[in-house]
Amino acid sequence: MTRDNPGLAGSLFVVGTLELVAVSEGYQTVSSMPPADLTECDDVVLLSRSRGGDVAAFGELVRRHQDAALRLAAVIGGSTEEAKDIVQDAFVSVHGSLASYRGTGSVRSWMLRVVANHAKNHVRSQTRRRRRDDRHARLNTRPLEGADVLAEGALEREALIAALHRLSRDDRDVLGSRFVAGLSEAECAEVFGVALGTVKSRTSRALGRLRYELESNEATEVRQ
Amino acid sequence: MIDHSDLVERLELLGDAMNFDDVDLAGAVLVDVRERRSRVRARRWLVAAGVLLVVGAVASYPDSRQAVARWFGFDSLSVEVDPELSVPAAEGPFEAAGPGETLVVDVDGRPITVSTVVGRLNTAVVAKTVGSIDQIEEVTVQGRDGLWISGAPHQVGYESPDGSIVVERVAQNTLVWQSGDVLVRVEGFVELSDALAFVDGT
Repeated sequence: MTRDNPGLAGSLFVVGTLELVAVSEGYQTVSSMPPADLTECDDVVLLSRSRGGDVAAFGELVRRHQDAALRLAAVIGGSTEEAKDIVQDAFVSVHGSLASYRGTGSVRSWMLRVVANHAKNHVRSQTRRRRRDDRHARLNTRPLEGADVLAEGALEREALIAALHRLSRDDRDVLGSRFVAGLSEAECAEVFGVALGTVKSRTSRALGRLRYELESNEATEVRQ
Repeated sequence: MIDHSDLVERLELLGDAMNFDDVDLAGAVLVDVRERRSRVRARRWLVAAGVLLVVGAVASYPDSRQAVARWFGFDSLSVEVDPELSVPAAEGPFEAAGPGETLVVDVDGRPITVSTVVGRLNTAVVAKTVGSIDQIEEVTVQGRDGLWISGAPHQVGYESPDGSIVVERVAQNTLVWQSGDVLVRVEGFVELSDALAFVDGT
């Protein structure tokens, strides 16, 4: 046990003086449309400007990656309804952690990793609440086709969602992230903190298991 | 027989069919950021008031670190991210000698330390230092905000009854949350889910 440790004391000093260098208020207006030049900036530039208190730059980052984030949250959390709240909370956390981005991966992957962690926390919380209940997938989708194929498409999607939710958590996460949320293999590796080779092998195995689940379900329906 | 390319196409169509077209998160996120920042700023000022009491003693140390990447906190806990932190692991569970109680219990053969620290309102009684933002996860513990600190060894400092700052180097994962004026720590679980289940008594 060390008393009056200079390392910790130094840290406290910095915490104590943090307010002296706090950035100025920058939230007088919240615009729903980014300035034109921000859309031309790459993510690293936007992040750098966000660190300096540029709210519009952070808004552009949110806007740019919210679609992938929402899909990712939906597939991990099992609900499109709750995805918005999960991503909103996650992006607020991202803003609070801007200084911790080390540049070792893409800004997008770093943001999506925070989203994935929030979604997993959400699932844990929900699981505790519904310990005795089955968790049903609530991935709401809209019709993409005409009315003539609507019913068939909806049934197919329902079967696919049900099959996804019979998979293990790892299998569901990798398939959902890769193909439903549209992340690259490299992004999946960064988001879930695994090697690229692990993503490849896990994806292949998960596709095999998904195929098994779908075919087993179809065989059951035929017998009935 | 369904082939993998067909499955991939079905999954991609499922993604296309998710309806998020009318969602514009930027405005809502920025409003939340502003409100959270206001709350944190107010709390930081109050915590800083307590911390500044030791600034005079601290300022004399020449190796004060200037790099603080991120700071979390409750009324009686502050957690700081210091990328330069490099500490060896402690031997055995950490027992706080500060105000409060410490109990070591056996859970499936693993010693779990449960401690409570009575925090004075709006004063940082316990300070933690970790090496990476990835070691910190914000969680909900019985409806209250908490933190799960995992991974590499982290440093814990607290104000002892005689007013001095005591530092320990902790190796094990820690779940910590604030309940009223009491800061509760559960240390020793490998998985967050196990720690939360322990807290819930399940």
